[in-house]
Amino acid sequence: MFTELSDEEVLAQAAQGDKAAFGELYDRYVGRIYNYIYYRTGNQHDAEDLTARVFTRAMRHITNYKDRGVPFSAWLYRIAHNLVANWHRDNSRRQEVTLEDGIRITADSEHPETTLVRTEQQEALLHLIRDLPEDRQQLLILKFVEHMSNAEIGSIMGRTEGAVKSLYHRTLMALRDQVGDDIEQFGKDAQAGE
Amino acid sequence: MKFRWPWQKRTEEDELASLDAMLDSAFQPVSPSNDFLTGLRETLIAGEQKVLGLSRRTFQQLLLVLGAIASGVLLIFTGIRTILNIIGAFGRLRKPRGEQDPPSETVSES
Repeated sequence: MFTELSDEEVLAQAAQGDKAAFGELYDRYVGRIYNYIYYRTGNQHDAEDLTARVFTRAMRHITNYKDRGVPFSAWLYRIAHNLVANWHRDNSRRQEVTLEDGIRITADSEHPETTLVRTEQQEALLHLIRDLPEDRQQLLILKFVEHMSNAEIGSIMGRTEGAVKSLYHRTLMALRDQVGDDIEQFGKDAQAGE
Repeated sequence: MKFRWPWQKRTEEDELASLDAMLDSAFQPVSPSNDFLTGLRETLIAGEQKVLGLSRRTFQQLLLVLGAIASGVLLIFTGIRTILNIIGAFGRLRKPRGEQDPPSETVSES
């Protein structure tokens, strides 16, 4: 019923209290919001909890939503961003390494030792990324998980395309300094896995 | 801006390209479980219960307000009774012993 409608058309109906329309928006964005929160928190349990809170809050305030020229997804990401920031503040003293922070074995025919080494490097990189400022984390997740263009990222983050490009370059430089001498080996392993 | 020789610049570009590849491989999309997706959808869309024609949240708020009003009325009533009892007790203390109220007459069955 809603699958052929644009986000704005579905949103207009959801803002009038149409729960089925909100369900359509939920279906379209729950995966993206979940991925964003998963990579910001590092574990599935908190990602599910925060994702549920994002959509609960969105549903509660959908009737007050006003189109300000930014995509609906930007509003959802803003809610998610705020909830994750609160989560980090509440958990800042708790250094917990969850099992989800560990291994994600890729399903291929590589030798297990090689797979394990690359996964540890990926996890090390993800830990470095979680120490970056929130806007840089958001940029990386939107770019590499959602495969958004700089323009799309800019519309969500409230920045120009040029500013996003510049921010990305600065982020890479900062990561390069932290990764250090291992960068060549990391890159080769990453490309070998493709 | 730090000066770099051409071969150093190429190295920097290679490093950034390596980083780009690393990030691409590290950030793999993660799918939430179907149970989670379905459960949350049901909770959001179909799970809102109606009580007396009101949403559950509104009903709970109404109960809280009514409870607060009832508690306030009860508190005021208790306060008034307490004051009256205190006034009555002072009154009885001031009366001389001879003027104490006579015991209530009991009707004997005979």
